[in-house]
Amino acid sequence: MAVETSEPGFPRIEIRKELVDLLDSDRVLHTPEELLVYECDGLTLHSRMPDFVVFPSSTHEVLEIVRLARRHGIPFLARGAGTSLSGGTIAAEGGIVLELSRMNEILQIDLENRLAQVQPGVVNQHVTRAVEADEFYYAPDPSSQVASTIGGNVAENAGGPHTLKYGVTTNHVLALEVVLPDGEVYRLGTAAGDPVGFDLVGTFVGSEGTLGIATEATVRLLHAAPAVKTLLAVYDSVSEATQTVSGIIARGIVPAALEMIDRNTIQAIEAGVYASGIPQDAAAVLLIEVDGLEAGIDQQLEEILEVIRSRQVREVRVAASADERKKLWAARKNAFGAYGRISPNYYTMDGVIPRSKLPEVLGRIESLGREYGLRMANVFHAGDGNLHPIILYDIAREDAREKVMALAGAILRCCIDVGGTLSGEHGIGLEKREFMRLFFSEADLQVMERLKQVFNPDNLANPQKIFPMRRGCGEMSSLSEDSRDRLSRFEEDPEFVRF
Amino acid sequence: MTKDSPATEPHYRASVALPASCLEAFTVQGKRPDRAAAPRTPEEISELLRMAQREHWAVVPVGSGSRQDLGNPPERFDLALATTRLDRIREYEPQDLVVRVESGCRLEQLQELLAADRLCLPVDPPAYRRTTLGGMVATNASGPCRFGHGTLRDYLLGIGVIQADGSQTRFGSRVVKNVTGYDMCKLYTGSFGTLGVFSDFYFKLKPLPPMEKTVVGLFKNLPPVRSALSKLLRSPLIPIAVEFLDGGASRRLDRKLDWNGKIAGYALAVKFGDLESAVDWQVKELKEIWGSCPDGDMLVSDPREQARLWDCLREDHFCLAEPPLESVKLKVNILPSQLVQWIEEIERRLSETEVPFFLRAHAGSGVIRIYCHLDPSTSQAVRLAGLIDRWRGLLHSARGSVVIERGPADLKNRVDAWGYRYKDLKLMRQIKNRLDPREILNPGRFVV
Repeated sequence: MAVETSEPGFPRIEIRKELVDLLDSDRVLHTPEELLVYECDGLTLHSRMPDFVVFPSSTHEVLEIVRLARRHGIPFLARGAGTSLSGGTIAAEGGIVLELSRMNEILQIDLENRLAQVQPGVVNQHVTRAVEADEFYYAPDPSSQVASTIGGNVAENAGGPHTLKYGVTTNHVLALEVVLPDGEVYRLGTAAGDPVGFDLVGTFVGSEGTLGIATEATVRLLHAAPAVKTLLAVYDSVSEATQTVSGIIARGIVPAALEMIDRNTIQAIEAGVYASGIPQDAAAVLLIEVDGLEAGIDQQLEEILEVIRSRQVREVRVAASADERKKLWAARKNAFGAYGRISPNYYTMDGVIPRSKLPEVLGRIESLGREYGLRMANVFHAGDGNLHPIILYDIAREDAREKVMALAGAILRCCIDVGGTLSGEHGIGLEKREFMRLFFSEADLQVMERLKQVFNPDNLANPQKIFPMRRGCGEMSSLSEDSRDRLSRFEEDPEFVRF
Repeated sequence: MTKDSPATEPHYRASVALPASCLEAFTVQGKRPDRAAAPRTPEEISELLRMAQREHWAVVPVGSGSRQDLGNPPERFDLALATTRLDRIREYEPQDLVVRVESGCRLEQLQELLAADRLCLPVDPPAYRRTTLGGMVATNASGPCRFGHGTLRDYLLGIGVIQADGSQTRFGSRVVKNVTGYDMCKLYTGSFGTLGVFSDFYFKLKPLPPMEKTVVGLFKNLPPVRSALSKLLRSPLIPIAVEFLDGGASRRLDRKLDWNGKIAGYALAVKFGDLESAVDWQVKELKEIWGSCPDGDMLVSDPREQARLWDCLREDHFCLAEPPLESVKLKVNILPSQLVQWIEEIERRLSETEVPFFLRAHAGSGVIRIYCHLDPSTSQAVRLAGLIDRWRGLLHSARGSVVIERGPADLKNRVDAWGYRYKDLKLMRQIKNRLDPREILNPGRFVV
């Protein structure tokens, strides 16, 4: 029954017995066959099997499990739907995975105060479903929203297409209940006016499970916009599309969503069940949505059409019905799933750049792809400057992984060079921790490390995430000239390309 | 250690020190600093903080000073670190809707620059003309438009921080969406200068609304205010601001604007800002959903009248003049739906104490402000302190709070300015301890 990860002296049997005493045996997984599903998440390039997967159903059970982990000095982390694209829910050092899908109750809906109090296992879209009859909704809408949970969204500070106008997860979380590695439950923040003291909710959201486990969240609800207009603009050139994006933002227009899809993605989508009739020879399309009140919506749309018409555009389609609109969004939201049709493997990246740099950076990414001999596709939140370059590859080919990682590194460097960052919404996780020094100085990292030590002094909560493993050699300034050199040092290191 | 010996402070004296004649101006809640400095660069701030570490000085970072009434009086006050010379706009990218400014830059100066491009940083705290961005971030200052636009935490993208040990750090960036590392911008927003000194910020900007109009609903009694609010908050309307005024506040506003009695009694001022057609529709719709709920209403649509109204509404006393020293300003944080019940409670209790007062609220956001005036020759301070304790007790289970934002020593000596008694205070203390172990930054003034 031994699992590959055990260290000598690891009290497996004893821990299992304690877990079963707490939860009954059907809520404690421990055999390699059972654990296999949990060895990776949306980031398939890394894997590691946990020692146990447990299914707590209350804050109290989460608390007891954390106390148990603490007593034995073993790592623990929470997992929702396991859709993390940065390895956030991989048990990098084994230990206990707390699967929170049974904590899926919506505890309170309070429309007068425009809030909902939910357990962490509640699926993102279910929050909206619970209030849509009253014309309210929960705004953050990651592409994974049919599966991903509020707990996971909180840990990763999830975004989505409509965050352009409405903000990301952190802008919608008012209060949290958390179980911290010290084996205590805390309430952070408040729905009553302004919180007093440090903004611990803001600090916790996006901490990727390294500060503790959220066991309850109070989130803001918004009134649904009565009017929505969605349009698709088809381009024969990527640069005309990106110029249009820059033009819209520069005009001071903030659409609800402003998404871009390139040719390889269009072809992948149109080959599948979500085909929506986008011309397959188009170089790029923009999916643009404006929302608001019925009064004024046509004027918003007209202003955008004006910018679109000022550039070379092949065709503009305005969705005529809710059905057509849904179809366009289905194409966008299922783009990732569609890549399987055109490539054996693909790697979804995430980086952010100032949106005025889109034309320049997309051009550079394309030529980098050619340089490394890899096909690329792009589907991303253009209005935010949040890129999702997709590297298409075949794992069976020699050097595939090494090449993919080298290209990924070059793309991230390109984002940093123009004043961007390593991630807009997927998180750092295991995936990008060794790139952190491209962006942060040693002093910056030290401050974050000190913050982490307050919550997680023994490093049992989701170890190995966010922070680079290797210690730096002296001062390294962020965004410095030599970032290129440092990155190539990382790339050459045999340890770096680890899967 | 001779504190004032020039020999121990060569750098301090050479480049950034302000003359002794300035010290009076940096007085915080009756305490005058021993010295003041106005650095021009982050490096000079580093130098000053290193010196403060060595000498174990208590440092109070100061912008315009407009928010120094907040918090408890300083325990010690060795150095006033003025950010006023760090007042440049460093990068401005109108096509990206992003700006980078230094912490000593005044909000008004920034807004004037942005307005030329029809952009703004959509925050409107009191002391609007004087306040610096550093002071605003440190205190998480907000104003009426928080209902529609959110607060500073929603706009701060990046921050330069000089740590207590003098090291220069930077978090976030100029991009509008970012999850690289911990969201330190959130930790620093509202940290009251206790975790580091800010050098500069990146802010996300918004387009200025093409036009604005305000509907003021007038109410003789409180219960209809509750239903008017509830109807508004359940509707699809998207007001920028929803402000509540009691009789005393609306009387003062009326006088200030020379409206000659146009408004009296309780009032709800609802501001819309959008395309003209959207604003007009909302004005019409609001009157419809309110129906006979208010006893009367007025529409402010003239742009100049509109600007004057909100220039007044964002200021504490509807004017920029300094309030008298013995005046008190309390902030009561509640669930928005409990507004009317809390207004009733506050009115009843304060009337019993015979303290003159008026009340305002960011009605949609659950923030009430009490303005009152204590007569030092009476025991009013004692009685107000008792009320603050009572309210804190009542609000405890909802995690609400009562903060003394301004008050004479006689009051602050009796009750803590923050009164924060929740369990996570332990975490806040540890964070402070890790990031400023020698406690040189604003000791004693905040919750930690």
